[in-house]
Amino acid sequence: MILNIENLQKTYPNGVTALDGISLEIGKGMFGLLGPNGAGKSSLMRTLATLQLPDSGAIHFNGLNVLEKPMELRKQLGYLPQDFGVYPKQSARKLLDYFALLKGISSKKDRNTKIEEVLELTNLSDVQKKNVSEYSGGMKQRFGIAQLLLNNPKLIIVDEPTAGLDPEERHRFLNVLRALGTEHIVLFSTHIVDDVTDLCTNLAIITKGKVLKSSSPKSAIEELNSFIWTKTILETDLEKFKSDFMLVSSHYTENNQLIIRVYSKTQPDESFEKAIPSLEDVYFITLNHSGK
Amino acid sequence: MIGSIYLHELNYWLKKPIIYVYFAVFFSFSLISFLGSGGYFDEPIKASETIRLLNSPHELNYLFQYIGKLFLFLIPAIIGTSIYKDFRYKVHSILYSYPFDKKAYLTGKFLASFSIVTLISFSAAFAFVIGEWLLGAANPKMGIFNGLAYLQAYFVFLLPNFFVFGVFVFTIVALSRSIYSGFIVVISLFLIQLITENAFQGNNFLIAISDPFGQNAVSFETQLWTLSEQNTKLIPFFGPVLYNRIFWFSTAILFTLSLFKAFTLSQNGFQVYFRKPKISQQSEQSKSKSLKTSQSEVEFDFSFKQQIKLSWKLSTFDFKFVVFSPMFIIFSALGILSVVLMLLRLTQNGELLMLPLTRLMLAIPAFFYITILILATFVYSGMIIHRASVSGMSALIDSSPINNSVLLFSKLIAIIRVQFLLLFLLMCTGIALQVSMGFFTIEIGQYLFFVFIVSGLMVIVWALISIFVHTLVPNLYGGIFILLLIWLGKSGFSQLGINSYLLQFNAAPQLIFSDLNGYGSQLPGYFLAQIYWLTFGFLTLFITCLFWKREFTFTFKNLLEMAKSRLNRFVQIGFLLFLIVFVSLGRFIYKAEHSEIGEKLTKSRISAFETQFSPLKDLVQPRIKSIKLEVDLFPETNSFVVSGTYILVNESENFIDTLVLKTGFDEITTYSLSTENQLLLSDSLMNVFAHKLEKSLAPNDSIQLSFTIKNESNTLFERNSNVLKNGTFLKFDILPRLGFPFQKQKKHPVDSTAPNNHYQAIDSDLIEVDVVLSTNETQTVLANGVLKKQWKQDGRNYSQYKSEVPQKMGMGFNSGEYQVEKNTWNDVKLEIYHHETHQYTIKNMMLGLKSALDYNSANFSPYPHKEVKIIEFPLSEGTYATLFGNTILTSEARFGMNTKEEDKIDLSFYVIAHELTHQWFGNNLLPKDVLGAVMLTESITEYITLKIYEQTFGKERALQFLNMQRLRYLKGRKRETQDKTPLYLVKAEQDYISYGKGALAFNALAQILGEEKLNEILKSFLIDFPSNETKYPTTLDFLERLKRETPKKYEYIITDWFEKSVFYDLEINSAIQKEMGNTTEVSLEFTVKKQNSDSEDLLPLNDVIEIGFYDENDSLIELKRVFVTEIQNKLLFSIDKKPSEIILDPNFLGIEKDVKNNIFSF
Repeated sequence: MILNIENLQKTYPNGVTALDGISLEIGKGMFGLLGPNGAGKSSLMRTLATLQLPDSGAIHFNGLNVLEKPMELRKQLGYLPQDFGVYPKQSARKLLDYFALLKGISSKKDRNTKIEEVLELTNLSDVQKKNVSEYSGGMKQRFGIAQLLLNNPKLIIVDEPTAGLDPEERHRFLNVLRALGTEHIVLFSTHIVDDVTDLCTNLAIITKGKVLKSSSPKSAIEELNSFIWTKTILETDLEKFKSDFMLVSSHYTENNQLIIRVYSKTQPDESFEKAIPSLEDVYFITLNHSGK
Repeated sequence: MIGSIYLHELNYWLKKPIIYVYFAVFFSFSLISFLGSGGYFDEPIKASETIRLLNSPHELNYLFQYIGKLFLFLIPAIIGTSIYKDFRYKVHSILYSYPFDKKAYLTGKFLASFSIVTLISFSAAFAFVIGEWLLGAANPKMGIFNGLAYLQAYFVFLLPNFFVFGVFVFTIVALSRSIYSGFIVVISLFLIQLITENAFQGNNFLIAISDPFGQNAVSFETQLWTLSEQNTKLIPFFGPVLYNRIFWFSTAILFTLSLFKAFTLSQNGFQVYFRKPKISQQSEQSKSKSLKTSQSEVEFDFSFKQQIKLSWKLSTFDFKFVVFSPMFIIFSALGILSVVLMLLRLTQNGELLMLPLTRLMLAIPAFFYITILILATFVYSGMIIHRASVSGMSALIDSSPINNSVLLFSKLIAIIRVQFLLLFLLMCTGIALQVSMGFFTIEIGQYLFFVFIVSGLMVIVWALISIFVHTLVPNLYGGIFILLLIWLGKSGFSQLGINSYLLQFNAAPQLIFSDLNGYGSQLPGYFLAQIYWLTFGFLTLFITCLFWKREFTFTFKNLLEMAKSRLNRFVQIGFLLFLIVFVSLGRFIYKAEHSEIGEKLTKSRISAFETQFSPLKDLVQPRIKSIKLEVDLFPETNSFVVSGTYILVNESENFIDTLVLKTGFDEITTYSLSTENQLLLSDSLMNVFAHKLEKSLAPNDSIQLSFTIKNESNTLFERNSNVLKNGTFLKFDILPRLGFPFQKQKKHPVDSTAPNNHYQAIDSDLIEVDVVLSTNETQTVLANGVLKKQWKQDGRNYSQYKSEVPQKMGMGFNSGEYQVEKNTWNDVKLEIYHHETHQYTIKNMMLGLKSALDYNSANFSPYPHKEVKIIEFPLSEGTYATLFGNTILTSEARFGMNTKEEDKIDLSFYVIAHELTHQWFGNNLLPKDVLGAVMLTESITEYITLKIYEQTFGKERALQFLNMQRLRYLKGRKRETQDKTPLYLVKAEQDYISYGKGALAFNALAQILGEEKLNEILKSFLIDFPSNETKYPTTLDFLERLKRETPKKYEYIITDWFEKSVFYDLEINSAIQKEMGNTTEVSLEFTVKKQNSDSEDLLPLNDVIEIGFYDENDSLIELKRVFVTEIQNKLLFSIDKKPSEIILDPNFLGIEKDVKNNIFSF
């Protein structure tokens, strides 16, 4: 099972280049797409979900030319856009029945079986008669997953699914995704690094329509082993450290001091302590210092 | 706070380009309409007295009301949207967290959007002012510019309407959070108007006050205005207009208050549930199961068959979404209610009642309902098309493996299901009403055919075009606006003189149903035009499919690329196939429309003809003395062949050497004369020919004219032959006539140059007629005269009819499958030939015949014929009745009257009695062909019928009828600037004078002279002027006789009624009663004013006034008659019984516009 993305290019009429030669090879498992807002994640995902045509490039899914035969992909696709709504005053059950019809499940019995199954999977069985438009944010996101599962998708694309969820909801939601990732390609975008660390088999960091890094989280972190150093400094000294070192990130402690993390092949000086690298370090280094 | 919200909102709208587009479109539309009405695009109009000024307050008000209907679109589009956009773009969740006062928020928004609508509406005023300037003062339709008229139209009607409707729409949109509701509210206003008009039937004041548009308040004030009043007067404001405005303004206030109360600045707003939702309280966290991801195998089916099924199944979702919305339920309930009330008025509550026949159910009420249905289609199709994107669900749908065409079809099917549900409701309403009235002749086939096929085809085309427009125009308002323009354009085309079904969108010939003849020959043309437009609709569907919104597109180029990528073989071939069908049908229509070869009749063409023939205008012609005809009717082929001969006699004292002949307009006629002659002049378009006789016709010599007439065959859209499949009524207008047929103006009775012709023929007096008719073997042929012989030959039915006594020119030839009702009156055979199911009014008609025979033979002279026939003809041929010899031809309409309601006029009886009375005044008495002729036929007949009616149904019903005649006269005056025509000079087309005023005039005479005395006068007149050729009588002869027989003190009545146009204004000022032992003394103060219709000056009085005293059961106690000479009168009356009501002039001795103040109740 493989999704091949080759050199996708898209420039919008307002001059913004959303996809700037993106190429990726994505296999079974969870694939995280990391990037800041406006990096082109959504454009890429819409393009993969056949809702938008690229200016050039190619997409193949298990040998299927997606751009030529979008309908064939849609049969195997589960897509959850970043922001979606549903018909008001319709219960989850009713809406799922509608989507099941759209997805080609013709027999009533089959639809019921499938709907029960996805409701169970997303833990919505108890609220299936409630109107989705009145769901809480997490419930609505899970409903989004429920609908995308109806056609036994082989390729699942979820755009920023955890935005706005409370920690518990987020946790539960990611669990559902992870379970799905064991048998399918799950491509999901986020700007929350922690989402990716625990779950993803592979990741890509993109910004301004370009892939900056593509690897497994584990190897990406390993690359930084013993290159990350930390030090507590005064707030007023931050600018100085910024110019002297490759600053990765900084955050405040409770007594208003700053802890900074810097990237360096060797210990900068004795006041720096060695730190355990994290995916966040990878993300910031890739975003801010790639090419340096 | 209101100020800043107001300015912010105003600013938002003023930046929108669409506002200026609306202004421009409305401006152009108003200007074109105004200029068009002013004749800017036509030949110049000649000034005349009967011109309706275009810029009079009355007419401007009318025009602004009309344009105002179009402006209604702006109310949801702007006022509704000003609140809706906050929900739509989810601004409300942020906005509502601000510390707003909700009243300020709502008020500011409303006022700003109302200001915008007001500004746009000024486009019409600008257009009209510019229009006035462009037409110029020289245009006869232009009066003096009247700024007050504009102010009145805006500040009394348009703007208050926008304000009130704006409040309704704003409230409903704010509470339902759906802009569609706003549009439905606006459409519902029309339903509310209709409902009030029908619910308050009989009470014009309530109708005036309750009309949301205020139009009926205007009509209430102006319904009796003559044209000159319409041209000059402002619409009175204090009165019903003001009450109407107050009523609707108060309703708007109530809406505002309820909005302030119910509106919440919260996320979810106001919701309507059919069932109260159960909120599951169970916590989800309690369950945490291990996730299994192995997915069960289900079958996915993308087969073609399944796709078809899927379209239907998916449509159910959208269909339910529409029909279960509260607005739809309210809307359809209002629609049904208006149909019910309309039908109840027609069948039970109105003045003249009809039976709840299926054809009635499907006539006017259905037309109105379907119009509303079309408007609703524009809104609901937008709702269905934009549904996914409005709710934010389109990405989910668009990424699923569903075909565009399946989705598109599902939407189309959903709209059609909504339409058909509404049509089904219409049908059920009709049937339910029929059953509830105990009328069980329900023609389900007729219902189904009309509702689902005839109307169904038409509304489906609207569904197709609506989907097309809403798909190509992503903006909902833009879409609805364009659809409205297409809809209006449909009628606008005909105003521009384009009358081709090829171009008039979704137009088809009007169908009239008859029980005798079904939809007749109109049906093929209807289906051709309708299927042509349906094909057009399907062509747009292909384009809709190409541009169906699915993938994101960012530029127009993208869009075209997308459309191109979807242009697959299937679409190409399908489009091509439909295109071929469309073009072929179009060709067919074009051919049918252009099959009538030859010149068009134009004004200049007619005047060319007149110049050519004018030397022959006054040539004396021989008279037709006898007619022999063979009429062969062929119902199957809608054709006929007539051959015949006329004997023409020179009755003048001079030789005649030139004959002028006119043959039937729509027929092919060949003819020959029995003497040598040559064609002198001919005009084959007007069908007028002049022949020079080789040997002049000496006085008393005769000549024979032989002719053969065939019909032109019918085309798809034009009926040229009056032979029908069943119920043929072929009239004598197919026959050749003599003399120059287009005499313009009738002469004055004193004019001695007027030829001695009777009022209905210039070429004959009384004629002997002998007709042999034939038709197919299932039908019966009928003509006026007496049946001499009846036989079968070669599988055809033959009958011969002959006139017993010579008759005036006028005959009909009928053929149909009739049922016959037979009866006798003395020795006279009475027969009614009618459609088998039309039994309803047979008894009333038979009674009408007998009563008329009784009255007229007792008072005037014996009935001259041995039989009377009544023959029914189909509705498609008209709704009138007429008398030819001994035969009354009457429309199917009279066979469907509801005669069960005892307090209503029995029109079936009345019409038959009227027509038969024409035997005496119209056949027996033939007036001379000069002005006033119809006074001697129609006025006298209408009066006698009233007396016959009174004998059968009583005084009260007769007075009710007389009051209808009074209103007929008063309303008829609307058409003319000045009511200058006195009764004795009435023209044939002024039926409001000849029937309305005529009946009142003779009734007043009868009241004063006594019925018997008047009948004696009429009888002596009838004896002295029998229909003979020596001297036909005029109204002057009659008035002379009348004056001779009338006491001097009453002569003013003859002058006032017959020779002048005089109005009274009577009023009871006070009445006091005192009991004096057995009697009651009543002291009555009243005013009497009399004036000529064209002057404000009061006329001197020496007039008889009747005063009626009535008891509590409305029965007359006593009728007092007094002579008054003063305006103010105070009189004492002694009455035997205590009166509870006094009425001045209860028998209509004089005409008054307002009779309400003639009544005094104790």
